[in-house]
Amino acid sequence: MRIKPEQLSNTLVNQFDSLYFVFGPELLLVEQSLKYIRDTAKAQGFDERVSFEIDGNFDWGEITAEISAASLFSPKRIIECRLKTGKIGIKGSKALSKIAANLPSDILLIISTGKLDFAQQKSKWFKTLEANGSIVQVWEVQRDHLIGWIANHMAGQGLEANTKIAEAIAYTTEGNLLASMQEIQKLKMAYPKGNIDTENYVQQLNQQSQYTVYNLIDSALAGNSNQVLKIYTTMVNDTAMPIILSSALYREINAMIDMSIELQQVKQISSVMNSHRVWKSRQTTIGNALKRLPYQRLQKNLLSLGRIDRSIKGVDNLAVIDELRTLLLNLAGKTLWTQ
Amino acid sequence: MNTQLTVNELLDPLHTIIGVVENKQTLPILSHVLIQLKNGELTLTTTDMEIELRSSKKIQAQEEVSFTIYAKDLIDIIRKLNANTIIEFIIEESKIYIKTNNNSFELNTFNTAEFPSLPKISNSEVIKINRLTLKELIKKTSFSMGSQDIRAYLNGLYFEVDKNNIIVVATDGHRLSIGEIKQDNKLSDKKTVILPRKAVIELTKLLDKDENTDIDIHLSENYFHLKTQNTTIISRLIDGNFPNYAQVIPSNYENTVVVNRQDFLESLQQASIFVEERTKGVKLAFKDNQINIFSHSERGQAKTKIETNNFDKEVEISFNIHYLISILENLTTDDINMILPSSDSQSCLLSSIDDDTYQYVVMPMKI
Repeated sequence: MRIKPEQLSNTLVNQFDSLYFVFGPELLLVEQSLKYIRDTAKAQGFDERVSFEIDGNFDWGEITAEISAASLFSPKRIIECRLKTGKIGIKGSKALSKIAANLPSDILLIISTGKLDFAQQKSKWFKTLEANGSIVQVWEVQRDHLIGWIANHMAGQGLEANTKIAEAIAYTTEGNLLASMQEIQKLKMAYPKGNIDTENYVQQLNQQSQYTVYNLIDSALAGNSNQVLKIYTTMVNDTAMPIILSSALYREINAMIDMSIELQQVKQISSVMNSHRVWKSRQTTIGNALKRLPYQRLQKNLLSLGRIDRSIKGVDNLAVIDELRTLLLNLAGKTLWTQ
Repeated sequence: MNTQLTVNELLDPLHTIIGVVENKQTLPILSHVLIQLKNGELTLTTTDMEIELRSSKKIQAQEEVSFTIYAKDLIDIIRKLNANTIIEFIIEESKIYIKTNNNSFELNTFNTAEFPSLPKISNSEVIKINRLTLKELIKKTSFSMGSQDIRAYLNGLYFEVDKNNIIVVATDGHRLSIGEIKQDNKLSDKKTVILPRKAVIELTKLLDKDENTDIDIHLSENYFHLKTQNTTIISRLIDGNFPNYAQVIPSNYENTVVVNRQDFLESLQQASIFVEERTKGVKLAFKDNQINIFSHSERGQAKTKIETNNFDKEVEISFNIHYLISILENLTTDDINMILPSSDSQSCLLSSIDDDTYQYVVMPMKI
């Protein structure tokens, strides 16, 4: 059975299944649906929850073992499976179909994942889940609905639903709902009574979004070394910057290495970026960087970053500020001498 | 600031306290050991901010010295040296130079004032317990503790102490071990704490080492503090409500089977050759005063059989075979009681006959 996300809370009251599959491109909306299901389950006596993160190497026997091992303290249990991608392989497909078709009554199985393509929604395992439980598909919030979505959530937090602020949040978070939600939560802390000083807030938002480590990394990946040096100079006095920058760089380079490996097999750069959830607005930058930076160079950059990270933590003795600048320029395709 | 210590003086206390030091530390100083020499006593301290271990030893040297050094490097440097080898430490502001025989090493050091220490414990209740008794209580129960469970309160050992008893309980949600001893405790009220898994492991090592003496356990709101002759362990406690263990102990004894422990253990060990790797399930079929034990895996299957006393009901039930084996290895009597699930309780209880010091509860499997 298919349930629309907006109908989920009502449906759960009238009918509670033993299997729910929630998927879609927006992590926040998937999380919200999962929360409704968990809360309803808790009210129905499902007191224990076990969760599994499932990737290509997952041993599906772990779930079978968990289902068969009864609990001493709760007769009803929730087993949550978070699929890293919808590509679960032949083994995964067989195992998940078998598990879904043979669920005991004291187990609630909740499965979730990101976006699934059309072929994945036609697969055997998907159909088995559909036949044995409820499917909740969440959709991206379209650009023209985004401001309304933010305003609604502001109202939900007891804040005045101010369109100007909703527009500013939508612009600075580039449509990222999780980041938008964080901004709303920050607003709630700053203005607990709900009345927001609009001018002051928009000004702050603009200042804070002027230069971030993400602008810095994007400039480096775009090959714009002048911009890298310009932003880096303005941030160099911030004592927390090396820590934030090195962890952001680690995530970025690591993801690019993964994409670079996948590109050896999958020739479509756009599909690789989509599977890694690269925002549309960054796909040109990342795509060009992937063409420009070979896998070996990214690996070398990651090793350098490892030493920088150890130096930040005091176990190595590199000059962190200089080395981070060199690494960024290297990503931008330049060195200090050719700049 | 210089000092000289022998391998013999350093190595044993270092081995005692090294377990707390993790490879991946959030703060670099947590990879270090704090070495203090004062009034002829050498004290080594390690911490991960949750547990603090201290080991002390009387030695000849009389100078006052205090420094930190990367613990695993120090142990690697000294472990292969002769016990009487003298190690010279030359301590500078941010470096330590070690000289042994013809070798020299340069290591980083931190200001000792930055070495974290757990707060001094106040308002604690003190329990005196025999070391061997505590060691046995922990050994015979802790194997049922959870490991990396999302419910933090399962990843530890629960202590419940009142005026007349000490009860120790461990559970991973599928099995439960209870150890209970009767002894007089000078307590005003019942006291309950959950000691984290890592502290339990360190405590077990520590109890293995020291002599047969009474030891003091200090229990406060947030800390567990145990001091033996040379070693002190202080651990933060797990904050959480331990499950109501008493409610899962079967109270209806109508399905009680008496089994020879050794026969049962050996049969299960044979059957364990062919259990399914993931579920580890074994089927026990009770019929005509016998237990038929069945297991199977992709490689083959096993059928074993043992005699029981006075149980002619027909019952088929499955368990995780490793749970049963570990329980039977920890019980010591020749014969044991096995109380099978009844209409009142879904769980199974195993204990020695006429001795309730240790009781083990296991949930059957659905296979």
